Amino acid sequence: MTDQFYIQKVTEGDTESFRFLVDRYKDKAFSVAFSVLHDLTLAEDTVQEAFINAFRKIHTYRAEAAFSTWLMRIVVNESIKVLRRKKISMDAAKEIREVDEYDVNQSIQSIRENEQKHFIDLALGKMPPREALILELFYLEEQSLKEIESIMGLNTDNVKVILFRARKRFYSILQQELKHELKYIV
Amino acid sequence: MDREIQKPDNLKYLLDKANRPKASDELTNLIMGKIKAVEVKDKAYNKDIKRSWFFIGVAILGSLLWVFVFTHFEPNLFKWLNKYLTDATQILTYVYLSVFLGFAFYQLNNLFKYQFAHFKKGDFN
Repeated sequence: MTDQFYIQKVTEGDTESFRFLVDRYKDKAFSVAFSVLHDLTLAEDTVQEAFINAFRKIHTYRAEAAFSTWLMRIVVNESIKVLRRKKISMDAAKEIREVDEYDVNQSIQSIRENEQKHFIDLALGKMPPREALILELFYLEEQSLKEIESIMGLNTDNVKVILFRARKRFYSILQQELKHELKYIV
Repeated sequence: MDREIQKPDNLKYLLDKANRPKASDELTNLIMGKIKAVEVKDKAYNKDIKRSWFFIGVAILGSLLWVFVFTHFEPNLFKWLNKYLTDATQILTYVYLSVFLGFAFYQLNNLFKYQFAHFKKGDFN
């Protein structure tokens, strides 16, 4: 059964059909909210709020975009609301240091697997929310640029710029975090 | 920056190692529970809102009727009412104002609480 089938049933008043959509997309929604908020409890609350909003607005959904794209936009908007309430900016003003991606890749390969995880999590946690979100959407959720445009409400050029900046910043932060570790290894 | 020409990408390989917490198994039930509660609440709100509009309508029609009665039949009605009670028309006007208009304001308050709540919050979506 496709999403459209269940969406149709929900709009006809069968609330229980929404359970299928929640089950199918809750993990994705949770990953997206977590990438922005970096907090398990907040991410879970945000996902709940997003699904409730989606349920209330489901009659406005037009099948022009995939349901998941429409839903992720709601999740992103809810996450941004939470950040605003906490007065956290979506962007960072800090400049990005130039970094050689190849070197960072070599460095991280030289440490143990569990340490690699630790440093990658640390770097992601220090990313500005918008950039962390775009990395999540592009690399982990494997959304196309068109879908990311739609989810983040940006145009193609902006998406490309943020993606490029996010990539640079991730490597830059990772390099900083690895510095001490590498000194220890050397 | 096309996805096809980006592959293979070391960044994807690195990010795949990141800790990606999963939503709890209970989340679906929690969401469905809240949705059902919201549905019940929304239905009650809609019922309230419909009732409020109905009473506001009744109050408006009542006012028009009141004006109509006093402009067309006032002399006869006035005489007839005052036979039974001195200043009856005035008393009735006060009763009307306090009961019908008071109720209409109460219903308007309900509308502002529910139907126009998003204006208060500044949410215009």
